Amino acid sequence: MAITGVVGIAPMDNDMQEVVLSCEDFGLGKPLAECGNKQLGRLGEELASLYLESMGMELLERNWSCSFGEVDIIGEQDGRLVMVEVKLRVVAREDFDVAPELAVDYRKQSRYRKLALMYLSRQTRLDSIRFDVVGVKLMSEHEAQLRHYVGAYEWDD
Amino acid sequence: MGRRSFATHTAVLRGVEAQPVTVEVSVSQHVPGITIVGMPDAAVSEARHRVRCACKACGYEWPMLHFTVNLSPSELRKTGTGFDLPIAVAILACTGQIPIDGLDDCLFVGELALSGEASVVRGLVAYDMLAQEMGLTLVSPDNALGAGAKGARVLSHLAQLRQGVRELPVSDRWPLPTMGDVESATLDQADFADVVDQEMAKRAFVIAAAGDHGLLMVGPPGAGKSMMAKRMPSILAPLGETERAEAMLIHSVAGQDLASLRKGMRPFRAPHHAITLGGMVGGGRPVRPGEASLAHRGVLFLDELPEFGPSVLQALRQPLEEHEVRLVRVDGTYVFPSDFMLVAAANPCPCGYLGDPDHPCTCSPVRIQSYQSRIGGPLMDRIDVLVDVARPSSGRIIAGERGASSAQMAEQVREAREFASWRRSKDPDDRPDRARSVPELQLDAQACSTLEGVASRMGLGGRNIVRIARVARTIADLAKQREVNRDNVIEACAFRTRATL
Repeated sequence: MAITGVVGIAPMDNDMQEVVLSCEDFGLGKPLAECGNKQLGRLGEELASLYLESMGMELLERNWSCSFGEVDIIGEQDGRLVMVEVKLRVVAREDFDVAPELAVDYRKQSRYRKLALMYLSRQTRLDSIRFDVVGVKLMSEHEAQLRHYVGAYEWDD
Repeated sequence: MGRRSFATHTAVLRGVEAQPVTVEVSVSQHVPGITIVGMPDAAVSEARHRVRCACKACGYEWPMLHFTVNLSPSELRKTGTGFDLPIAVAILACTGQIPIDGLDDCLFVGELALSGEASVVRGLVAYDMLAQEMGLTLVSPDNALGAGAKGARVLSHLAQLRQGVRELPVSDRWPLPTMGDVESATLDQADFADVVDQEMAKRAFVIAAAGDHGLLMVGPPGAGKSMMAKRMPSILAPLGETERAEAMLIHSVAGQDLASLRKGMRPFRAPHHAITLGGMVGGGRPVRPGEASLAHRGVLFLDELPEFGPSVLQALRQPLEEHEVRLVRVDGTYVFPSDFMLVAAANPCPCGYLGDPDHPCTCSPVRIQSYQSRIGGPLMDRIDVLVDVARPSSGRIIAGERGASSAQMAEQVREAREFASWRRSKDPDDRPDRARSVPELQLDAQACSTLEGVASRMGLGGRNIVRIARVARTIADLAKQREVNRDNVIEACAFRTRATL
């Protein structure tokens, strides 16, 4: 798949960026309405990976899993591990007001913390970590809007 | 990047005392976040959200690191929002974002708003005392009075720390009241001159103020009982320096206004009769002082005395006898000073008109009996002066007569107290009159025989006899006599019995 154009990057502030991606075809092979959740989920992760790589993040793992669950994307940036959770929603119009990223709730955050501790224990190279969230709004078969939250949450206990 | 760990000084309130607490912050890589340990309550745990937002709002960098915050000693329960500032300072120092010069000599207390603005927490006086004891400089937000502690530094915004703690403005200790303050305090107070046609009751107030006697007014509604009680502080001497510090400490811990205390005015507390036990002597969690302690060095006025809960009145026994309240809780004993002058008011019966010449009383004897029996016991032991307050004559009110003013009465009180302390200083043991037996109160022969006569005729018990003798002693002091004479005893008897009962 080739992204033909990043239509616009709107840096909201340091911690959040908004991008609109467009493409001839995301390669789904059928209309959006006929796609299953799994297929759409994979597309979201695909788009997020492309975007994160374009932002200079080195991708280490896709769908890394252990007994606690799965991490969509694990990358490395500025000498720090980045765990990315990707959330996708199909929307009818661009201005349709949904925020897929809101689905990353407290429970999911607590699971991500356990996953992080697990991943950290399996490697010794890096010991600092950051949690990012990428929300994908899929408008059509060839257009999507991405919102990237850098350091979306921390874990207090 | 700064250091691995850093510590700042702060304190936690326990009763009316501040106890030192060290905030230790340790930084590690790992899952970013803040962990607070050391028995924090909900308000302390919420500090991390306020601290995080405040630091970001002030333009400090919030690193993706894990901070472990320990509040030591860990066994002490930590309450309140005053920990925001010391935690923020420790984290900023740890990450090398503020100069650490001088931070170790400071005691930080303050709550942070999300904007980084610092706001005052209650108990600043207690924190100030602790800081002085420990030889530290108190750093806190300016309070509403514009007064902090001596040499204390005022931090109103977290961003100010960028220049270092030594650059913060220094505030003055609450200054001694000036002559102007005292005058304005006198002007602020209500004057006894406004009370018309109550010279007998005013005399009772002078006696009570001069001899530290408890006072009970009995009278129908509208007689001016509350009006007179409110004027009691105006005839008492202004607060001395230590008294003022004690009262300010309690008021500060309870989060009350300090403005009138700073001017040297004595506290006047008039709790409603629906007050709970905890409200009267102190309680709650965290334990806070109650009305009996807020009235320390001042006046506690209980209007409608029989309407107060029996347990509330019973609870006043300890402060009346020992001048302090001791509350035992799971984490130990809390002691609140509670030395006040008791002024109470009551109606003679439930409808209020018993003994009123112009208004019939509608209460049955049984009801009157049960109403009056509600006050009694230990509380009545402390009430030496009982005065009947009749409704003032309408003619005198309309004519706009004015009686003795507060200034005149205060002068009488002052002279009597001076005389009494001179008289006591002549004795081998300089004990207060309250601790003396009847012979030690220096009654002359005539006075003794009069007292005997009254006691046998009215069937007075030992306790009542001592009380009459004490009041007679104060009356003699007001007349500057070393010995109590017959007239003093007779006047004292008049403040003991109710003609109508």
